[in-house]
Amino acid sequence: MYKCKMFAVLACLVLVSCGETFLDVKPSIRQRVPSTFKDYQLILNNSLHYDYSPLVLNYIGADELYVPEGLFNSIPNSLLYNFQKNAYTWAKEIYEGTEQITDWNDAYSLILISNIVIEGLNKTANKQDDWDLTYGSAIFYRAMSYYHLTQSYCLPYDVNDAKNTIGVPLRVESDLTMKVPRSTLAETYEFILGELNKATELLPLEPESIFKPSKLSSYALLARIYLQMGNYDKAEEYASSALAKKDNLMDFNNLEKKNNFSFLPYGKDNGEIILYQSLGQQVVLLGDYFSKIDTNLLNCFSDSDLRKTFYFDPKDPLQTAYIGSYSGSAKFFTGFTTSELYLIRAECYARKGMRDQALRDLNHLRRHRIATERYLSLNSQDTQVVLQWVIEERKLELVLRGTRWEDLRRLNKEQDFAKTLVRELNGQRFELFPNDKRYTWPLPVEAIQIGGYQQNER
Amino acid sequence: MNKFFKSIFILLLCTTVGYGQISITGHVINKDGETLVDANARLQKSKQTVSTNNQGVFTIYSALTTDTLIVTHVGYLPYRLVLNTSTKRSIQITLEKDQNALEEVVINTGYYQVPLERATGAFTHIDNELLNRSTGSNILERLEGVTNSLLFDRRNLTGEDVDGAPELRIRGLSTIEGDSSPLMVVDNFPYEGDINTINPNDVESVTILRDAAAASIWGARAGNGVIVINMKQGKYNQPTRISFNSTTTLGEKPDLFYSQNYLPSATVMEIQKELLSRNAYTIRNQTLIPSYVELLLKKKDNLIDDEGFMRQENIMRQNDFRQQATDYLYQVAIKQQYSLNVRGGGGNYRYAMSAAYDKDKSNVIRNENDRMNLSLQNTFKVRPNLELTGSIWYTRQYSENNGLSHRTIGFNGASIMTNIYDRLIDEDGNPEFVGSAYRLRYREDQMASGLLDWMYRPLNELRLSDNTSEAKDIRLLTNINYSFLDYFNIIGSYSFNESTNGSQQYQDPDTYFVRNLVNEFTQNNGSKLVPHSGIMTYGKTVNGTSHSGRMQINYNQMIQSKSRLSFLAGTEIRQTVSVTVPGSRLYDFDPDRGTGSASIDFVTRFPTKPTSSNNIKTGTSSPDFNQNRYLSYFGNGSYGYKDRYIVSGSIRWDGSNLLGVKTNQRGTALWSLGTSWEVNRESFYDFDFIPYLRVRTTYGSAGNIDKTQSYYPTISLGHNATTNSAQATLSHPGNPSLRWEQVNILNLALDWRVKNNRINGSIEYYNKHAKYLLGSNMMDPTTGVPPALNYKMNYANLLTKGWDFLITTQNLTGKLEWTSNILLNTSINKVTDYSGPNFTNVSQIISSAPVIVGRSVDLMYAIPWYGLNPETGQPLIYLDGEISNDYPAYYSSLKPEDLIVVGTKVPKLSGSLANTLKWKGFHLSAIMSFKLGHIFKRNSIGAGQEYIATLPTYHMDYFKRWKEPGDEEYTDVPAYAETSINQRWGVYQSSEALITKGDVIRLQDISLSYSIDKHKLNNWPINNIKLHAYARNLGILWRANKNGLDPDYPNTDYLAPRVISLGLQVGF
Repeated sequence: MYKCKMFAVLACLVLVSCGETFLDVKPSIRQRVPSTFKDYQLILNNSLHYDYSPLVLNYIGADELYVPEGLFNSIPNSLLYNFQKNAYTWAKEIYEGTEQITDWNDAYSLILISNIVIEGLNKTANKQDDWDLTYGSAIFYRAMSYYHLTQSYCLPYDVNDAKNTIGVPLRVESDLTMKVPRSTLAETYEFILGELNKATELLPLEPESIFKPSKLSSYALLARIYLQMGNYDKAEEYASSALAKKDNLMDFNNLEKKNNFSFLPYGKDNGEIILYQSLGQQVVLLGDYFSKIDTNLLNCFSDSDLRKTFYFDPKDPLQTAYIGSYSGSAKFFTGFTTSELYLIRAECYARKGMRDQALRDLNHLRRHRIATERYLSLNSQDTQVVLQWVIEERKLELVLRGTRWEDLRRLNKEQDFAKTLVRELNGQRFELFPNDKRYTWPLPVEAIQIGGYQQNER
Repeated sequence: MNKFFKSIFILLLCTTVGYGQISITGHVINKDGETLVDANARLQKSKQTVSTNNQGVFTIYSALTTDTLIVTHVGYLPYRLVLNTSTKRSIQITLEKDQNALEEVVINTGYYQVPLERATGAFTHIDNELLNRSTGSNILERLEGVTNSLLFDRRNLTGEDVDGAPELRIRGLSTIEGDSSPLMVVDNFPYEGDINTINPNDVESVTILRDAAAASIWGARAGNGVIVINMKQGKYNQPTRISFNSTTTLGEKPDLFYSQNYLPSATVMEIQKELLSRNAYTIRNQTLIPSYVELLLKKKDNLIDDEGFMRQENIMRQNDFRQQATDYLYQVAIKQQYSLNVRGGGGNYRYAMSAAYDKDKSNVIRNENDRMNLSLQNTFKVRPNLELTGSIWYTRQYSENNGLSHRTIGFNGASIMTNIYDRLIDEDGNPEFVGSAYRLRYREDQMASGLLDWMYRPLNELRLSDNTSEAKDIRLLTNINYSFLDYFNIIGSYSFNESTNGSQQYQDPDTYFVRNLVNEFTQNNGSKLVPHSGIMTYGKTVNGTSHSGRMQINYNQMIQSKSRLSFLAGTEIRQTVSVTVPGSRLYDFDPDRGTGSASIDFVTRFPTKPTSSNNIKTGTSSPDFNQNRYLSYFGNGSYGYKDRYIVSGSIRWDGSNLLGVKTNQRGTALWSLGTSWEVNRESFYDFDFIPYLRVRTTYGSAGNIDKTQSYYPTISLGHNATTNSAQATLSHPGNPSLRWEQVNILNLALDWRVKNNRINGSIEYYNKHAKYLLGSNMMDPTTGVPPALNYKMNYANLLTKGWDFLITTQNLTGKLEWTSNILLNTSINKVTDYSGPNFTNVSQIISSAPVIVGRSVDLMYAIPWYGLNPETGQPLIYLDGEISNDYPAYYSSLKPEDLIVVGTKVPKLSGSLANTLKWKGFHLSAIMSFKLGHIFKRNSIGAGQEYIATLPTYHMDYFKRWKEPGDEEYTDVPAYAETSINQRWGVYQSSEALITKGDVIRLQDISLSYSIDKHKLNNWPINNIKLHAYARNLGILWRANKNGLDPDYPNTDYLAPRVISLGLQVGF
C-alpha cells in the first residue's frame, strides 16, 4: 500500500516537473518556425517566386488579347470574375471587395516573404556558401515586385514629375502593424534601383538555374526599368552587360512543330531565358477558353515570320489560341530573355541615333525568327524609321510576355506611337485613350478601407 | 499504514463521543450489491449522524443502550433497525429502491461523478432509455430532439450530403470564426477519432456540460461545451445479463425532384441552341461541350441526316436525367445492426463484453459499409480498497465506395457536363455515355483513328469499379482506483488509442479511368506509354496513436452529517501522433497475382492528348508526421452544508506544444465558481405546492484554441516538382498580438417540482461573454496578408444570452401513463466590442455578415426590394430618386446603411415536445421539434444567368417570371433576359425578395415498442423481449414559407430520406 502511494506521489511529481520539456516537441515534421539559413533558402525556392507574376490586370487591359462577345457574356457573374470583366472594359471601378487575385495583394505577399527572409538572414551568421545568393535573391524579388506595382498602380514615370507623383507604400519590414504611407514615384524608383544595385553585388554572375536570380537577371530588370524611365544610356548599358555574358538566341528555323505548345515545359532547353517567371494565377478571363489573340495583332505577322506558326494555333482566325509561351503551357511567360535585351538595346541605340547598331541588333534577332529562305535584312537611313521598326518588332517578339501594358503607357507619351485601345461588346464601345488615367489601376477595396490609402484617380 | 491511521481516527472519534454502549459498523449496499457511498446513518434517540465512506462503510456510536438506526440514501427506502446490546457489531444493510422516488441521476463529467441533485453546474443527462429511443448508428444522432440546448444545424450541408454531420451548437455561439464544435469525451478522455467507431449500443449514457462549472474542468477546449459519452459497465454482485439486439432500418430513395435548381430538357436545349448561335462556346478538342450542342454541330457539319437529328433531339427533349438516375443509381437503403452485450459481476469482479456488427447498404447503389465492434472490460477488486480495471475496444470499419451519385456523374441541375437531357441507358437498354473531360467529337475521331474506346458510360463503371477502404481502431484503458484513509482515493488512468485507415482502388482495364489514361498518353507514333491493363491505386494510410495518462486524488467526506466536503486534484498528460504514409499506384496490375509493374518512366513530361504535357503519376500524396502534446493540472472542490447550501469551484491549467507561440502562451488557466441553495429545506419555506425548489448559479471561464494561428511566422516544408528541390511555403506570417479566445459563462438556474411530482423542470438563464475572439483577416493587403489567407486577429467580444427551459409533465399516471417533455431553448448574441475595420462594401456585407458592435453576428442583410419595373420586368431601382435601368451604377451607389437587416440565420427559439405513452408493455413516443424566428435565403433565377454558357444557373422560378406588364403584381421573379448584365441579377438575388422565413415545426420521429416481462415468459429462459419500431425524418407539420422548402436543408439537393426501423431486443 505504502509503495503504491509513493508511486502515485512520484508519478505526480514526474508529470509536474517534466512539463516544460514535454511541451517543447514540434507538433509537425513539416511545419516549423523558420530560424535557420536553410529555412530561408527553402522559402525562396517556392514556386511563388517564379509562378505568380502580379501582372494580371496588365494582361487584361492590354491590346494583345480579346474576348469574343459570345464568350464574354458567358463569363459567370461573381465576385471571382467581375473584376476581370470590369478591367477588360477599363471601367472606372473594377473591384467589389474580397477579390482573391489582385496584383496589389500578390505583389505585397511576395514583398512580405522577402522582408521575412531578409530579416531572418540578418540574424543568421554569414557562413553558408549560398548566403549572398539567398540574401541577394530576396532583395531582387522584392525590387521586382515593387517594379511590377509601379507599372500597375502608379502613373507612367516622368523624370520631371516623379517627385510630385504618388508612388506605392515602401514596406521594408515584416512587422504587420506598421503603417507605411505611399511614397512618391521618385522615391519608389530610387528605392527599386538602389535595391537592385545591392542585389547585383550579391548575386552570382550566372544563375544556378533559370529559376534563380543572378547578376544577369538584375541587369535585365535594370535595363527594363531604365527603358521605362527613358534613361536610354543606362538601359543600353545594362542590356549590353547582360548580353556580353549571354547572347544565345533560338533559331526558329531549327524548331520542330509540336502538336500542342511549341516550347518545352518550364523553359526546358530554352537558351534565351535569363530568369524564368510566369503568370500562374488561375485567371478565368485570361484562360484560352475565353481570350483569343487580337486579330489586328495577328495581322501584323508576315507569312515568312516563323513566330506566327510557333506562337499561334491558327485553326480558326477569329479564335486563335496562344501556344508560344516559353512556359510550355497555357501560363504566360513573364521572365527575362536575351531577345528582350536585344530589343531594349536596339531601341536605345535608335533613340540615341546609333542607327547601324540598332539595325544590327534588330536584324540579328529577326534572322532567328524569319524563315531563312525568305529572310530580308532591314535597312534604312532614317533613324526614326529604324526606331519604328524596333518598336514594331518589340510588339511581335514580346507577345504576351507581360510587357505590352508597360510599353503602351510609355509609348503613349510619344505622338508617333500613341494608340487608342478599343473594345466592342453588346453594342457598346469602350475606348482607352493615350495617357488616360485609367492606365493606372485602382487599389483593392481593402487597401483603401483598411489601409486608408489614397485611391488612384481614374 | 492504512490500519494505523484508521485506528487513530477511530480512537479520536471515540474520545469525542465518549465510551458508547453501542458501536455499530455497517456496510450499505443496494440489491445489486453495489456499494452505496454517502448513505446517511442516524441514531434516532441519541441524534448521532454519520455517513458511509467511499467503501460504503459507516461506524456509529451511542451512549444509550437502545436506539433506532435509520439508514437513508437518495432514491432508496429508509432502513430501520432497532438496536440493543445484542445487535451484531458489524452488519450489512441492503437498501431497497424507492419506486416512487425520482431516480437519482449520477452524472459523470469525465473527472468525477456527482448526483445531479448536488451539482451546481448546467448538466444535461441523457440516460440509456432515451438513447435507445432511436436507432441511429451514430451516437450523436441519437441526441437530437432529446437534449436540452443542443442545436443540430444542417445549414452547412450541401449537395447530396444530407446525412452528413450537422454542426452542433451548445447554447448558441461562443466563437465567431473559431471551431464551434463541442469537445467529445469518451471513457473520461478527450476523443478526437471518428465518432462513428463508437457503437451506440455500448453507450450507457451521455452527459452534456453546458456552463463554466461543468465545462471548465475540461479547460482550454471546453468553450463550446463538452459531450461526455459513458460506456456501459458491469456491476458487482450482478447475475450475468445477456442482451441481444437486432435492428433493421430501411431508408427511402432520395427525391431527386426536390431541388428547384434545374430547368426541363426542352428549355435547356432551347437555351443551348441560342448560345451556340451566339458563339458562346469555344469549340476545341480539350473542352467538353454539351451533348445537344454537339448534336447541333453534327447537323451543321452534315454528319447526321435530318431524320436522325430529329429523332435524337426528340429523345433528348422527352428525357429527364433525374428519373434514370433515380432508377439506376439509387436504391432503398438497408441498414442492419446486431449487437450482443454481456454484463455481470461477482463480489470481487465485474465485467462487460460486447460484440456488434452493422451492415449498411447506402441509398446509392454499390455503396456499402460494415462495422464490427468488440469490447471487453474487466474490473477486479484486488483488495476492498483497490480496484483494477482493464478494457479493450476494437472497431473495424470496411466500406465499398463504388456507387455513382448524380453529382459524381456531373449532374447538378445546371451542369454542362451531364445535362438533364442526357441518359444513363438508351432505348435498347444499353448503357449510354455522358459527358466527361474532352469534346465528344474529338474522342470519336480519336477512336476512329485507333485509340481505345474513350466514352464514359456510368452504368458500366458502376459494374467495374472496385474501391474499398478500411479503418481500424483499438482503444485500451487501464484504471487503478485505490481508496485510503476512509475519504481519499487515488485514480490512475491510462488510455491508449491506435487507429489506422487506408484505401485501395483497383481500376479494371475496361474502366474509363484506365482507357482515358492510356489514350491521353498515347503518342503520335501510336505508342502507348500507359499499358492498357489494370491499375491499382493504394490510398495514403494514416496511422494515429494517442497515449493519455491521468493521476487524480479524490477526497470526499461527510463531516458531522451536516456538511460534505469533496475535493479532487490531478494532472493529465496526453500525446497524439499521426503518421501519414503516402499512397502509390501500380500499373499493369494483375489482381490475381497481386503484382504490378514499376518499369514506367514517371519523370519525363510526355506530350498528352489532346493538349499539354504531363508525367505519368506514381504517388498520390506526401508523407506527414504530426505530434500533439497536452499537459494539464486541475483541481475541483465542493462544499455542501446542511444539504441545502453548496459551494463549488474548479481551476485548471492547460498547455500544449502549439507551433509558433511564445512559451508563456502555450498554456492558459481557467476557473469556475458555483453555488446552489435548496430553498425548500429552509424552515421558513412553506410553499407546499412546490415541494422542491433549488437555485443554482455558476460563473467561470473556458477557452477555445485555434491551432492554425501562430505568434511567430511559420513555414511548411514540401517538394517543388518543377525545380526538383525542397521548398518551404509561408503558412502563417505570425501575429505577435495573438492570444487565446476565452469565454466567461454565467449560469442562473431554478430547479423545481410541483406536488406529487406531476410537473418538474428547470429554468436556466445563461450569459456567455466571449472575449478576444479571433476573426479572419481584417488586414490591409498592403501588409502582404491577402484576404484569402487564414490570418486571424483577436478582434471582437461577443455576448450570447439565452434561456433553457426543461419541463416534464406527467399528464396521466396509472395504467396508462402519459408523459410530456418540453425543451425550449433561446439564444441571441450581440457583439460588444470590435476592433477590426468597418465594412463599407455592400457585397461584403451581404456575402459575409459583418461584425458590428451592438448587433448579432447571425444577422443577414439584403438590398431593399421595390418590386419589378412594370415596363421592363426587371428589378425596380431608384437612382437619385429617379427610376433607373443602370444597375451597375445603382449597385455601386449603395451604402451599407441602405441595406436592410432582414433577420437572423439561426433560430432564436428552438426546442422539442416529446410525448410518451405507456400502457402495459407498450411504449409509444413521438418527438415534435421546432425552430422559430430565423430566415434563410432561397434560390431563384438571375435574369440572364441561364445564358452563362460555362456555368449557368437554372431555377424553376424561370416559369414564374414576369412576362408582360401587370405581372409585377403577383411575381417578384424578373423577366427573361438575353444576357446577364452585371448586378442586375445581383439586385434581385441579394434582395429582400428572396429572404424566406425559416420557422418550421416537424415531426422528427416516432418510436413504438412493446416489452414482454419476465413473468409472462415463465417457461422461457428469457428475461425480457422488446419489439421496437422507429421512424425518422417524417416531415414537416408546419412551415412559415409558402415555397414548399425545408428550411433545415437550404442547400442540399434533396431532403434527408425517411427511414423506418424494426428491432428486437432479447435479454437473458
